[in-house]
Amino acid sequence: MTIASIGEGDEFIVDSIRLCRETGKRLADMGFTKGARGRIVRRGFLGGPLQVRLGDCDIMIRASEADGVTIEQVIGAGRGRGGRGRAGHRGWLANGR
Amino acid sequence: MRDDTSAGAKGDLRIALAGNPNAGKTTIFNALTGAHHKVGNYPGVTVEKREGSRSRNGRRYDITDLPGIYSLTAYSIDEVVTRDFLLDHRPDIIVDVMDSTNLSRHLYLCLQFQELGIPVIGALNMSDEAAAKGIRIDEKALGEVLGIPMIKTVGPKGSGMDDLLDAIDRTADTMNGKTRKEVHYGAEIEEKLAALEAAVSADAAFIAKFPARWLAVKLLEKDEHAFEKLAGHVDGAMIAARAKEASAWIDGHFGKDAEIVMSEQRYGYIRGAVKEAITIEKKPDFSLTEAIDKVVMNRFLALPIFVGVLWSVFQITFALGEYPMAWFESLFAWLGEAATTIMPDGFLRSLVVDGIIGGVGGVFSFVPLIVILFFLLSLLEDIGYMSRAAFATDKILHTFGLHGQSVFPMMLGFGCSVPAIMAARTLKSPRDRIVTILVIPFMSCGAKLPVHVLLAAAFFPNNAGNMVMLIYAIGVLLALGSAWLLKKTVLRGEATPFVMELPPYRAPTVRGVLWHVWEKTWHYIQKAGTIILASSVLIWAVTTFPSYEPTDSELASAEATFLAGSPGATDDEVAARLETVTAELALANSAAGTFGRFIEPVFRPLGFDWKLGVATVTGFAAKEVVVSTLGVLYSVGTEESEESEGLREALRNDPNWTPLLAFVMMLFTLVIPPCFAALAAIKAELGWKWLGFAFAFMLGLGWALGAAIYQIGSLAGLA
Repeated sequence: MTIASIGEGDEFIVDSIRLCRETGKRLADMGFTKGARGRIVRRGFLGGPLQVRLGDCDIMIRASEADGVTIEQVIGAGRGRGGRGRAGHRGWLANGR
Repeated sequence: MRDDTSAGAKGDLRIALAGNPNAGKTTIFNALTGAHHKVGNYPGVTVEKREGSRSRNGRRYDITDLPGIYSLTAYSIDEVVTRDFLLDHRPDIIVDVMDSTNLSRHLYLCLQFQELGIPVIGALNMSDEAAAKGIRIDEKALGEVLGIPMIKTVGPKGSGMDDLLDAIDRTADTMNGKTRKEVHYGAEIEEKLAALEAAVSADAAFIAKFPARWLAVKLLEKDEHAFEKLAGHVDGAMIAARAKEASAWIDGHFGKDAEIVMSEQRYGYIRGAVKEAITIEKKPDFSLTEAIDKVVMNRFLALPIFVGVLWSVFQITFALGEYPMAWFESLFAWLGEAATTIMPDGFLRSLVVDGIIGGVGGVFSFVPLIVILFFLLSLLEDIGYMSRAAFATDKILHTFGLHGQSVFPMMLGFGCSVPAIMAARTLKSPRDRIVTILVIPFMSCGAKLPVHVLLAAAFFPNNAGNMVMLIYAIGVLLALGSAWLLKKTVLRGEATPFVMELPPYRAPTVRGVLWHVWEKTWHYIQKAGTIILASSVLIWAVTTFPSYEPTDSELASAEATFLAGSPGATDDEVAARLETVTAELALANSAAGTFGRFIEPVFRPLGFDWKLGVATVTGFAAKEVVVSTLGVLYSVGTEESEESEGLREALRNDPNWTPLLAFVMMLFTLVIPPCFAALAAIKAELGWKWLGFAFAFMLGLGWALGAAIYQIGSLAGLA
């Protein structure tokens, strides 16, 4: 499951980042690291960016990048939107390398 | 602000002010340096460099404000600039400005500064906001855990500055560099780091330039720039091989990339420190930012609100700008008249009145519009709305290969391309920045509007407004389409991630907004004062020389034609008529006229005659000049061309002109390369190579589109 596949209001705990190196490092720099807790604040229109609260800070992240952040646990609170598995999105999501 | 000093008594200090974006770094810089600062650029790049100084108790502090960054990797220009500055100049102390309401992420950067081996002092900025949010920070405990002195500050109020300077003094006076703490990355990684550090330290000359610990960390993080630096090390190749081996081991051992493991270890270390030093008393149950964002960032409302905000900005700009614009115009008209009266008739007077005052004045009258537009946009930026605009538009822009952050520069492009091109500096990825700059000229600027209005009113009298809107819309579509094309061809590469912090709304400070307005306006005035002056003079010269006096027979035939058309005209009317005919003949026989005839065959497929060729050439000085040139070429004089029916009538009566041709000309004016000032801005930002590319691309596209539409339209019987 990734943070792109859960619903508005859902809380999550980050497990790993599966993105190309540069983007992955950038997300890690912003605090998307294993064990970090966050919440989906809102999603943009028609697959637009997501607003994610990570700790005390709000971060906007494009859905395609959000799809590369896997989570280990969802503390459902929102309207749920699970099961929207979109593996292979855009092709460059290949695990690590 | 400056005390009298006996300079250097205690050793002057070079301070680097660094930190994340949105931490209030500029407010701290202003509070520390007062009015004493200068703005320049870092060598070779277009990142702004601010320097200032402060003296206190006989010590001078030279402060450099570094760009806001998230990490010390080297993915963006800002990061490279910051990192190279710190490594090459080795300031005595780094002051890291952090947002107290969001410390974990800001401490992440702080720890990376610490690894550079330069003493770091943390300024816990916005401490008042943190207190209001119920975040209690024990700065002493935090400082002890991390080994970094921490000082609470409030930038806009200037509070905490003395404490900060005291801490700087204490650190400077007790510098021994031995007892500093550092992030502990866990036993396995530390073992690898120690081995690399030892190997790096073998070259004494090398570690005088690059701190061994920092380099070891960066090598494990597979940082390409760190590997490049190794080229200067005696054992460079061996160390590089060992580092690759070590990070490959970490990849395998942890089951994920080493650089991500390093980030996680840093955040783990920070979590430990934060647990000891920070307590959150209460969660505020109401957040104004959240309440506003419920509407402004609403899934369905975000885009309409953005369009509404944009529309209001333009309405206000043009409504308020009208008055000062008129004052400027009359000021320059008065100057022109004054010069006409004072100076004797001749080429010098013509140069001053028509070339300099007319040319620069025409462009300077846009200054009030630009100041107002920039004021409003700076206000939106300082409030925090521009991040929301990026959120609202990223989906659309990304589809076409642009970025959510392209939206602000592109909006500026509707006003003037020059500041818009410079505003593209906020884009961190070079490819995004290039593509944004290349498509900005398609956003129809304020100076192209008079051309559209003239032609639409003359040939589409019932639909003039819609035609102008259509041209603007075509411009936006061309910008998006070209961006898509460029990203598929010359600027191919991986998509830049859209990962941006969403700062809370903040009340803008008068000083901050005015500073931003001044900065942007000053760029424009500098351009208007130099490039536009030069190009005005150039265009004046090619339209004036070689000088031409009409022959008696030409004048006689013009008079006869005029009298045949309007019998009973007074002598004054006849004289005025002859004057415009003289101007027309002078222009037709000038270098520009000759050139227009020379290139006429090239423009034939678009249906253009030499007159449109000349107008296109003069338009490079400033696009609105196209209108006054047509005014001269169609013998109605420059003054009347914009307001009166005269030029429209003359164009309609010319057999060559049809609605089809008018549309092609509007489109051509929109698409072809922008004025010299904008071209100079492209050159300054991207260099000659991209300028050449942009010029060829726009000219080619403009010509091809114009020719295609004219030819197809002609076949369809529209001409």
